[in-house]
Amino acid sequence: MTTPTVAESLPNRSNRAAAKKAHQMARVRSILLPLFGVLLIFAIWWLSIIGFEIEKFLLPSPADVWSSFMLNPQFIMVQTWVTLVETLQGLILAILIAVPLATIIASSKVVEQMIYPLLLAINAAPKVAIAPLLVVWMGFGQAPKVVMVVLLCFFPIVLATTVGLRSTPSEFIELAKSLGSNSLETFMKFRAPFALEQIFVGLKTAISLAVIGAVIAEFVGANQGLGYLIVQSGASANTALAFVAIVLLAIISIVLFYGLVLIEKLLIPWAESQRAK
Amino acid sequence: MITVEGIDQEFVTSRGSVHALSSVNLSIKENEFVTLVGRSGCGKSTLLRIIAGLQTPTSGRVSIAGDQVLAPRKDVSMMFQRPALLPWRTVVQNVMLSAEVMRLDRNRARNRAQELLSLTGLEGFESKLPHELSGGMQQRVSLCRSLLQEPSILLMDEPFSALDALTREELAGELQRIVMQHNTTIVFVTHSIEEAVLLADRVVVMKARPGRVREIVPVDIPRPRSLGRSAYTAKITEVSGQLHDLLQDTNEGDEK
Repeated sequence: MTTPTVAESLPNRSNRAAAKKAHQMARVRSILLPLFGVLLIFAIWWLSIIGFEIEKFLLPSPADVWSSFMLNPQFIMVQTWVTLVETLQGLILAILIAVPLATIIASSKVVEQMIYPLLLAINAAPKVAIAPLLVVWMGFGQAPKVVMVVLLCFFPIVLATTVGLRSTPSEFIELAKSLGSNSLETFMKFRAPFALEQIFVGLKTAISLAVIGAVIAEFVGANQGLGYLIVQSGASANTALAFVAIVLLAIISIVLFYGLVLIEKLLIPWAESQRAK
Repeated sequence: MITVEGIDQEFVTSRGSVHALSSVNLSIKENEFVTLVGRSGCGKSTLLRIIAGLQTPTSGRVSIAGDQVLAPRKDVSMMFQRPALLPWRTVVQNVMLSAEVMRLDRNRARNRAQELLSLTGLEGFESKLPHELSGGMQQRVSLCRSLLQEPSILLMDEPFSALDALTREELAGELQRIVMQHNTTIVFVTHSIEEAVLLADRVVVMKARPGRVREIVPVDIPRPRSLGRSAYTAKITEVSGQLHDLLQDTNEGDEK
């Protein structure tokens, strides 16, 4: 992106400096604007508590939330870690199941027609309803949480990967054929790399669902994790503590999401440069 | 070299069948440069794909050097309208793709890739990615890739049609130069009369609905040809005019 294309003539120095400056400004803005947005929400939150005289157990102020966190930061961070690990384990397991499954679906019409309705049915079943069953089958440990995460996030990955594997531009398929490439080679050299962009779209959807899955499972039967923390704070009307957990869950989601964006940029740098064209 | 005998191609879709080609006969000599010209829908690309072995005709047969074509052959290479460069591969890696898939000798292929890249003026761009190149340069890379395997037949499906007029002429010139150095039979599909006259030994004018050969026009002008002023400007204009009339005629036929 930053390297000039050969199609361009050599830009003069002042032009280039101006372009560089504009680029830096855009960068600074992309960091400052979201921060400003968050601050704005905090201000409205705080002002409305003061303005409408809202009770603390209904809606705690940002300061209450912060002091609630500072009361026992170590304990809370351990709960966060537990939820984070469950989320990541589930997500990785989901990828390991979904990508090969999608590969089979994309390569065989028969398998697609056989499996797709089943997948849709599984996806349509309300996962919250399954959560207590998972506890019955697997107990209170990590396992039912990981399974719940897998259940919630594997479908978007299957869907995106299937679409991605099918969306190889036709001229590349023709090219592969005309070179006499076998189907494994066509998959490895053409289809799979082209699918990556779509797979990342699926992963970005999946990652926020993964966090939700972990929390749902923790609601039903757990003795640690942020979901457990929320249930506990609800029971004792400790609204501030529940807010701490919610904020931390939001932060987990955001960090995981941008982590994915970063990996995507490193793995498929060409995707963005193509979009820009 | 290439013999096309009684090719019929019918495409059956849910909305009925389309008669794309009807009893097409054509014989192309070794080292000949033939262009297929016609309006869209005359089946010229379909014919090319059948010769490439990418499409099995409803009836009729194509043979190359006496063997019937049933699948893509190693001595035939195909170039498409779009450059079809893999966006994650550098210029030289894209050129080397055919060597990888066809299991050619690595070192030899690498030398040849280097040679082709300098021949097409791409020296110094070996490690660029496709999106960093202009459209004309991308198509040059694509040309290098299709020449890497040293094909005896090169099939080209409107390869320059997405480029601007000047770049198109430039590339047509380069193609002539390269082809004169190698012994390659070329079948070139285009809808541009200029391109046809500039490049071809014989122009096959095709007619639509159903697609068939209307006339074969020999172009007897010494190479290298150019659209600029030369001793043969009059001759080029004459042949262009003739092709133009033939294609106009097919248009009237369509409107009936």
